[in-house]
Amino acid sequence: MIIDKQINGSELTLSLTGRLDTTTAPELEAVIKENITGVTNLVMDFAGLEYLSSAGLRVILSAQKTMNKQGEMVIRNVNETINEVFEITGFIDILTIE
Amino acid sequence: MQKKIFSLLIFLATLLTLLPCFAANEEKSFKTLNDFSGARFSTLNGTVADKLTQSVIPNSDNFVYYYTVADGIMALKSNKVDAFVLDDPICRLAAARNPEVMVFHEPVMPDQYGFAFPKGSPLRNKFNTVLRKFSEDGTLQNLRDIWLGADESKKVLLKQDWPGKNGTIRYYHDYLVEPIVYVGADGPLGLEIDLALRIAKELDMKIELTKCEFGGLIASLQSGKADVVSGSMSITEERKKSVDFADSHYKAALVLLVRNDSYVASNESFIDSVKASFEKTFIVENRWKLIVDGLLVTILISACAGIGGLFLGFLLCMLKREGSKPVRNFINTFIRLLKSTPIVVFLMIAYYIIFGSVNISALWVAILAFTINFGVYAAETYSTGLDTVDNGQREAALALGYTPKQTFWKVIFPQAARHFLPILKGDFIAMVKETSIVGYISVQDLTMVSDIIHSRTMEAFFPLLVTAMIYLIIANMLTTVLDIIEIKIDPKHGKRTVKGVKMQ
Amino acid sequence: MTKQALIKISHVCKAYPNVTPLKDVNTTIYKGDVISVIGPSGTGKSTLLRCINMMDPPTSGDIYINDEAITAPNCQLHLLRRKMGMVFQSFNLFNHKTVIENIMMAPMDLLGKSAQEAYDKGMELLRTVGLADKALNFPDELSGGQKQRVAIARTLAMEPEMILFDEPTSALDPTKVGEVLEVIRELAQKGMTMLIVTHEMNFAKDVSNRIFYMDQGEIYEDGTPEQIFEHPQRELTRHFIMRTKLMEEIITSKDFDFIAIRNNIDQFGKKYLLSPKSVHNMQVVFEELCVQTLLPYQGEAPNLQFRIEYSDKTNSIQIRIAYSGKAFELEEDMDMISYALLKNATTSIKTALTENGENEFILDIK
Repeated sequence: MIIDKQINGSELTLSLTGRLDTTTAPELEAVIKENITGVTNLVMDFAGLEYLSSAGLRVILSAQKTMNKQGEMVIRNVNETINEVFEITGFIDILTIE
Repeated sequence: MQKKIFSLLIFLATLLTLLPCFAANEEKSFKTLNDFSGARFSTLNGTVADKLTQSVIPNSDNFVYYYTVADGIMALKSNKVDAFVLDDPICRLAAARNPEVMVFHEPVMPDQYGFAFPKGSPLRNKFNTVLRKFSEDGTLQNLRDIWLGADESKKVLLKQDWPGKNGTIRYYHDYLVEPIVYVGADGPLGLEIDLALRIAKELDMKIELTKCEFGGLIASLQSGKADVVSGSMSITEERKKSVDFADSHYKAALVLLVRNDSYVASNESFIDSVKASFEKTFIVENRWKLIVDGLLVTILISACAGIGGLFLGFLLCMLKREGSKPVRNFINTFIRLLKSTPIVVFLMIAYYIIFGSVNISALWVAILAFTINFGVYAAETYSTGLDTVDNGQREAALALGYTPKQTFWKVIFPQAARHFLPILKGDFIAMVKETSIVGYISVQDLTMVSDIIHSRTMEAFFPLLVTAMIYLIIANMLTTVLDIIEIKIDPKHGKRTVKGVKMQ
Repeated sequence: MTKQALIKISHVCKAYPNVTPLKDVNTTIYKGDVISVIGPSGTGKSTLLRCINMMDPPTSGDIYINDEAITAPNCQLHLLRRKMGMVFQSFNLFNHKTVIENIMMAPMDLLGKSAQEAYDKGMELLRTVGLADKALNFPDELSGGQKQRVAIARTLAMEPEMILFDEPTSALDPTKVGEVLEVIRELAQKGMTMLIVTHEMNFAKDVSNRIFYMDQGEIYEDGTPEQIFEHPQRELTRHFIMRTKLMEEIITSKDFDFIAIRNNIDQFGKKYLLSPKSVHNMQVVFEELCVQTLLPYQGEAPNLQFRIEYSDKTNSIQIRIAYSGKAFELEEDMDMISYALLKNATTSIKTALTENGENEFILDIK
């Protein structure tokens, strides 16, 4: 998976390309942990995301929890497959999906 | 083989000479021996005339070798060579019969003939004793007069009517050198043969005559086949290394036979010359009987070797396919060895080496050699044929309950036959034609007879033509017979019906 | 009525230098049996047939025909072979004989029949296989199907007690298969004992009273067509009947190559042209159930067997995951998110025990 990181003041944009699964979820977790301090606006761009597993969902959930305290988190460009994953797991109600 | 190609050349040359138009040849004129420097020479195969000539005439190494005097003279007449170098009795007789050629006035070198014996043979001294006696009492001179003379009626051999208490002499002689050793109406004739008979009579020994190519004479001494040989054989130092010579019985000379420049072709018509040639070839001395005898020999060898080879080939093929590994290896090596040996070489090896010390007739050796040779080829042919039959055929027959033996004969062999018969036919015809080389081991077959007649008449046309035609007829007869068999075994031949059954 | 045993095969093994097509074959064939021998190629089906009539003698073991050992070195092999005809894949008619002569030959040569007897019988047989008008033709003038029918007639002419068919329709044009199978079907109805190596499953199902499924150098499963085709008892039989394509991964370390397996699943999907959706669902099952759920419970020496079975016949995908240790209760012990994903990827989830007694999940993939 490729994580493209853009910081614009207090806005952090993470663009994910590839598969977010058991092996790649820890990478995302590390990137978020490293950059989340002071971020008020976290944007996750899923345009290039092909696959999302429970391991990835847990990282997203944890990020959502953090952002609930310090600002807001938005997920963009969710394709059909990923959207289905959010629907089944009920994440669609927790996350802000644009 | 070489002989056949060569005969073909002669045949063509003869055709040319028979045509009444002669191309005008620009020729060198020869006045003295030295004028022959650089000329084209010929002589017989196996003689020493080439070496002797080269020691006398400078620049004389351009030599062509022929098997018979007749061939040499033919080449001389057709301007293929300038001079034919040979012993003077032969050349004189040739010149007497052929006005187109003549003996050059200067001899190349004096020469002498002798009987040859195996090294250390006690027979040599016995011959010498008698020869000295004949020399003193004039017998030798008398014989020379008879055999070199023109009166053919006196040329009769001594009958072997003495008891021969002291054993038998096996005497091998050349047969293409008139008047020394040649073949007449009733068999061998010639000065040396007459002399050998008279010597044998003096020694009270019987003598057994065998015709042999000049080139094979020394070999027959060395292999122990012959006790004494002759054929206007010059006594030379080189030959003395391998054989012992008796004292010379004939002082001859090596002479040059050249074209007779003053000869003008006669007005004899083409038809007449063909008539005369025909007469010489077949009628004189009942020579047609020779041809018939030769033909019978050829047929005998072909038939025996053909039938024997078919069985031997089958045996070899079965051993090769079904035998144990060492047997298979042995058979394969045997087949490969024989297939890579020219049949003429194999024939000579069989005669002079394998059966060298066995008293077996050359005819049997020839039959045996050709049986083995044909058998080897037939084995390969059978094998190829059997290979074409699919293994499924064998399995189907076995599954029906046939035994392996029944399977082979009922199913495999008939199908293989359709494949190997045509090849076998070719093998067989090739073998029949190859029997023409049996002259090498002194078997008087059709080809050898043709050579004998040709050497006597100096005419190549009819003997070769007739021989060629006879081979053609034999080969075609065999082909026809085999064709009929082939058609008979073709399952799709003839009306489709089931034999012995009332059809529904 | 007790069945009369015709052939007894006892511990037959056939080994070649490189392969051993038959390891240990044991069975009894009864009079009237019509047995289809099925199985993947290279599992010794034809070899078994060829051992029975000693075309390829077995390396060890015994075969009895009516209690007479055909494998005995001193037996009258050619007489025993007459009791069982053989029909070959490549027909093997005698090319140098007409059709009627092919049929007449063996009865005349081997049974001492007169030409007329053999001819009459031959024509009768030709009529039953529908080829009386070809009596005077040569084999190379017939089509493959006609050749095979003549071959069957030739075999019948010897009045065998049974017939061995070695892939009788494999060398035929598909349009000619039916005519040959029809002849065999009629023989079955007349009660001829037959052993047929075939790839024609529907034919095998219809005509046989027994099926041998051969695999692993033995008769792996022997049963009625119903048993074998509808309820195969053993795993390889099932795979064969369902025309299953397999992918198997065994995980024995916590540090296994996750990416490699993920790729293998993708490749498997590509190879058998599975839908992207199915491939995605297989990935979900592998990751959520295998990696996220079962693996953490496996301790330091995990033992997980992950297997995808794709049935070409029913176009269905099943995943079996066998694991060591105690049974796992999905609804109780599985993470909610993973469970939701897993449920979404499958149509059914069952638990079972493997032949080795391990716990196993059987999941049908959506």
